[in-house]
Amino acid sequence: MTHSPAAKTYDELPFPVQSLPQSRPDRMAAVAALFGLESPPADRCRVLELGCAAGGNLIPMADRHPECTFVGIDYSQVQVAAGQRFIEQAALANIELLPMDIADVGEGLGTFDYIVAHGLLSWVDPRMQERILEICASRLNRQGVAYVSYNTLPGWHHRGTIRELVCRCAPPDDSPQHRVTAGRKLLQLLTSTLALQPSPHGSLLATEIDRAARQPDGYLFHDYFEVDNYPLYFHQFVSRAARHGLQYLGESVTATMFVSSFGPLIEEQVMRLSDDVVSAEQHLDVLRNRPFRQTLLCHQEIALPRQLSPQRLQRLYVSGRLRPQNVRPDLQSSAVEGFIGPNGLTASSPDPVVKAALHHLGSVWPRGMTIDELVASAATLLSTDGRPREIPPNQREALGHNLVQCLASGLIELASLPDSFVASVSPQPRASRLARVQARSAGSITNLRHESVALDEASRTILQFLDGKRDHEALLRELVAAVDRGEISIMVGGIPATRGEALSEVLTQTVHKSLNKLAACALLVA
Amino acid sequence: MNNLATSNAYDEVPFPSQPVGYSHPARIGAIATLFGMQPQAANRSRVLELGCATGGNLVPMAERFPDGTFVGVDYSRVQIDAARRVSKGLGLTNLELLHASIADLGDELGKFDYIVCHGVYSWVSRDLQHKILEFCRAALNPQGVAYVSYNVYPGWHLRSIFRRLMYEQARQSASAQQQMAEGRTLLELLSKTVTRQGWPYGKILKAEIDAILNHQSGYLFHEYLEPDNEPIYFHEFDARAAAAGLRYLGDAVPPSMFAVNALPASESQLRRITQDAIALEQYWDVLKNRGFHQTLLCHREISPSGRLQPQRLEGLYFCGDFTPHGVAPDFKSSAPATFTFRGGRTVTQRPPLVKAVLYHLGRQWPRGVAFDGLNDAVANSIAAGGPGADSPAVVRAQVVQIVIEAVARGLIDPTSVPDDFVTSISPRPAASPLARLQAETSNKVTNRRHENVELDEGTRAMLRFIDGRHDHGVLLDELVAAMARGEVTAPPNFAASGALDPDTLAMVLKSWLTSMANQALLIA
Repeated sequence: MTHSPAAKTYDELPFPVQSLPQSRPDRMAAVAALFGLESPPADRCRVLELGCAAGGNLIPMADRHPECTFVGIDYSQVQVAAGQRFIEQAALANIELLPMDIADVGEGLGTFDYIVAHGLLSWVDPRMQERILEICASRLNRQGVAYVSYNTLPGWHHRGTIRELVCRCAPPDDSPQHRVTAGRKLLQLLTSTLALQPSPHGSLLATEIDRAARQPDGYLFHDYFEVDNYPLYFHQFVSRAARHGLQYLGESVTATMFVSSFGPLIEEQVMRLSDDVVSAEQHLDVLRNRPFRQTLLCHQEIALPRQLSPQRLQRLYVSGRLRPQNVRPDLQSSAVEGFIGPNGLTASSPDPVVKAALHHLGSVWPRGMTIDELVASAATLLSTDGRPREIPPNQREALGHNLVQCLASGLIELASLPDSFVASVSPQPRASRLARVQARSAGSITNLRHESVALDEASRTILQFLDGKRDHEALLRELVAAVDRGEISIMVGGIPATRGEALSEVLTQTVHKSLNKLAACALLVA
Repeated sequence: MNNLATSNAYDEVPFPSQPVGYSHPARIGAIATLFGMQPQAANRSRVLELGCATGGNLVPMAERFPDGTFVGVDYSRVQIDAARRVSKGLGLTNLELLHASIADLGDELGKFDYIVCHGVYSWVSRDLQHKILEFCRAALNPQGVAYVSYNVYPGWHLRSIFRRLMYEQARQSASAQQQMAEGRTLLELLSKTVTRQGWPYGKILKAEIDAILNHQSGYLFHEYLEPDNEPIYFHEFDARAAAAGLRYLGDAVPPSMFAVNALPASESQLRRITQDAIALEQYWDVLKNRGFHQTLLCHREISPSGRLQPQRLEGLYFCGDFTPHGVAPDFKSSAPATFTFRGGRTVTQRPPLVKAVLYHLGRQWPRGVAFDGLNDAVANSIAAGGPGADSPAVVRAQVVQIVIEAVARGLIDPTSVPDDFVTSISPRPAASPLARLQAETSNKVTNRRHENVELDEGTRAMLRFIDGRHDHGVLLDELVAAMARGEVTAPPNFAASGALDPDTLAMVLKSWLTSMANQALLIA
């Protein structure tokens, strides 16, 4: 997150870095596979993060992938030291955080299969930007993938405008905290002023102001007050990367790459305007006023057969948070049924195999599975005589095409590795050591999908004891003890419950509910 | 308009060179006076235009003020040659036109009372931008005023999106004409695309694309397809001017300086954040999404007031095209009276004095009225209301306030030089020589209010005979002869009856002369 001039402010007001699901190596590997690059296996790789801050992103990865090696560098000594303490508590041996200027990164670090540079490129001067891209090229193994996120135009125009006002509303030599407070006051005033005279421009501005106002202090400061801020057009980014021998592989949020989600009319116009994937995506950025990208790069020598085919999904794991439009969808007949995804888009199909597959994906969310497993599950769902239905190759093929479309619409996700969490609660449930350490601290908790999850007090308490040795009874005893010590309070009918039978009944239920919740949040490894 | 790199582009596609009313020395002088300066009388001043193109802005100034001295500089040989042809055609001896780069200018041109630099600053390299401000500092007389226009953010954010897309799409094309065609095709395609989007951003995109497509080719080319176009925030421009030893005097368009015009009720809110005038204007720019500034600069040593000064009205002239709805308003009561102005906007007022000010300005339109004359006319109207009226001094103080506020709101325009066009038709009418020359090749001519006006066919054909030597009889003969040659046809409302009798012909002539007078084209 940091390089030299800004390091002091990052020490004073740390940027809240959390896990970034899009930077997971097995996600990057899946995107690479989708576009025809066989990248190194995500469970046996070397990963470098530039600007790792306190390791909020890298440490959970290291915890999940013990066979991989992780190196993070950051200029802020305060943040690196905090990360190192955490690594010690979590007893992780496969990760190293180094206080280092990006300018000093050299061959000594070795080379890597995956490189992550998140929230960094737009916040350093152009010379340092070149350096970052140069490192992504020179430190990346031949089949490796680099993830670089950055602010893009035109979407950042509106943010830039607000930044222009906010960053000048208090003297630059004031403390970061004081400047943030002054900035928040200004945002409030601007909101009330804009409300006086509605206009399309005003409503765009108001949306951006609202977005800024909802950011935590650290984020607000670094996005709106730091001296360096250089948003780029996507095509500029791509041509800069090309100067260092890197090419555009794809976007880590793959759905944003597909023009088809805009409908056939826009698709036709955009294709008429565009010579290649980069110019097509540039036009899409303009149409959706895109402010941010998380781009994957690979070496220029690699030939990318971009044409998508169902075969590309063969060795990947598919998951989807889908729910049927009808409570009891008709899977057997050829009635059209719709399945709604997390972004509100819907996939509809009359095809029984497709319907059964989407229905199954939704019901086992957040679990992922291979296409073969999915076909097998669909066959079981469609069974009418107690035996799985026979699914011929052409129907498998059709399912593959439908899944590619679902991917383009952002309805499903891909990963190159199977899940490392269990979806059901075992007699002696176990959470990762990292999650247990995180549960003891006040900070955010990272699940095994590399997401930050918010937990209630009771679940957080129970999580601390999920070492795989305690059964549900033992967990109940730990929870009772925590209530007795006054560490947490359990509300019954709006009042804190005290000791007694009623409380014990309530706590038994609480353990049950919390364990189910922890399983649903992908926090249980066994 | 030019730097070294883009000179050829302007040779190939001349920028539409037009009079820019807000850059006229008579207008700048009035604004500077109202802000407390003592600028040189505009009709006896030395005026420089940097990037004068084909002289569309400078030539009318030189023609109107024979006692002034005018210098125009442009890097496009084609454009300067065109300007020289017009100047020669008019026999102007007070206008010097130089083919030179701004980068090469030294002190050889001497000092100036007014420097105009319109549509240049944002379209040249950073070095040349720097040079423009440095040069203004070096070449301005102590009470001199510079007018510099430039593109600003945030309004230009959206435009720059399209600029970039068009530029990228078109830069492979060989000629400027091909580039323009490519750029237009791209925008038309995008326009079809964004209409499918129902959200505010889509609407804004569509509006912006349509606005760009409506531009003339020359404007479109230089604004959207030139390599240099670097908008900045207003506060950045102010800082650059300060670094060059200049000071922000005010906006050439005063209403855009005052929040009350931008967003009613927002001024008090924003003043809670800052009292700094530059910061306030920057906030208004953002809230209104402003894309363009016409800034007046003076020497750092001047301390402008930042507010329009009531004691500076005397000696200035004011104009406004107010047409009352219905009969003359009632000056005795506070009954509301509505006026139409600026081609369709309306203003409704109750106070008798305000109504009287607007009414008398409207009666004199298009001529400006000296402040004293306006005050007298207003006082007479009010005094006609009978006993109990306020004393002349009290009335005058109120008229002063009304005029100041109307200027701040952009309802009326100030000027520092009396008009030199006539609104009645003399026995031997004379049109401005410039307009007569322009009418030979175009139906758009520059009037004596420094505006471009579009002529109907008959007015345009007759304009060349209106040289002050012909009386109405001769003009009628010329009209008949021109009709016989088929050069002129009578307007439809006269032509219906077939062959025209002498009385009808006289009415046709009169209607055209009246149209010339109303358009400020007659000088005698």
